[in-house]
Amino acid sequence: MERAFKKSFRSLDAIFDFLDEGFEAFHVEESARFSIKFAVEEIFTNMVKYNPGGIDDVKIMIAREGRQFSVRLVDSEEHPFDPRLSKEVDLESPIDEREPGGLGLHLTKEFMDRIEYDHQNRTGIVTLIKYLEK
Amino acid sequence: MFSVTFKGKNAVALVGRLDASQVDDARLEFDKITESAVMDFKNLEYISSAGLGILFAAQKRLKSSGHGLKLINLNSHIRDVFRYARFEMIFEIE
Repeated sequence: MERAFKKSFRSLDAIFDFLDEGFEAFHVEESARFSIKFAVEEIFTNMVKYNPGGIDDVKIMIAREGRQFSVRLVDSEEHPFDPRLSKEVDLESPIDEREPGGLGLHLTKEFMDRIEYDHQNRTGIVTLIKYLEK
Repeated sequence: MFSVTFKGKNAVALVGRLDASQVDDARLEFDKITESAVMDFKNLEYISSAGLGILFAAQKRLKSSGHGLKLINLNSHIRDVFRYARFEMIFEIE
């Protein structure tokens, strides 16, 4: 399944609807759905915030092979940004010393079983992979 | 869809999905909380890192004046998010 979305926070409702369609079509168990939505929102909103220059829509592809469910996000991207290389987040400091920045990618890495990244011809491709139980 | 309902000064209920498209409106609502309050997550289905960010900012602001938010009725997915983010250290969660 594949669909294109305007690079705007307002696309999130349509993206969640598309994911729900994919979850039904590929029989994704309920327990995995929240974490996949969380990870997709994180990667998509990073594309909106940090790469607003590209005029193209973001393409999102959903697939399942056996127990491996994947969501691929494709964006025009001048400078590579590999989400796997995001900096470590301070999780232990008291509230007055702690900053919430970077938490989203930290949680995305916790929730996904694997993240792949590729950058070719000014295109960034992030693939989120979750191993399903059934 | 996301909404915030105030039940008096010290009780707040969140409803729906707190994602990046909702945080600007949500922040305006959270800014109305000026003293310790109980925040009910019973009807909150989903929260993203953008939502966590504004909750964190509200708690930081309240803590600086000796107040704080107590969060109740988190669903199991949101509880996982809070655990991975180590937000149990930041909020009182019941």
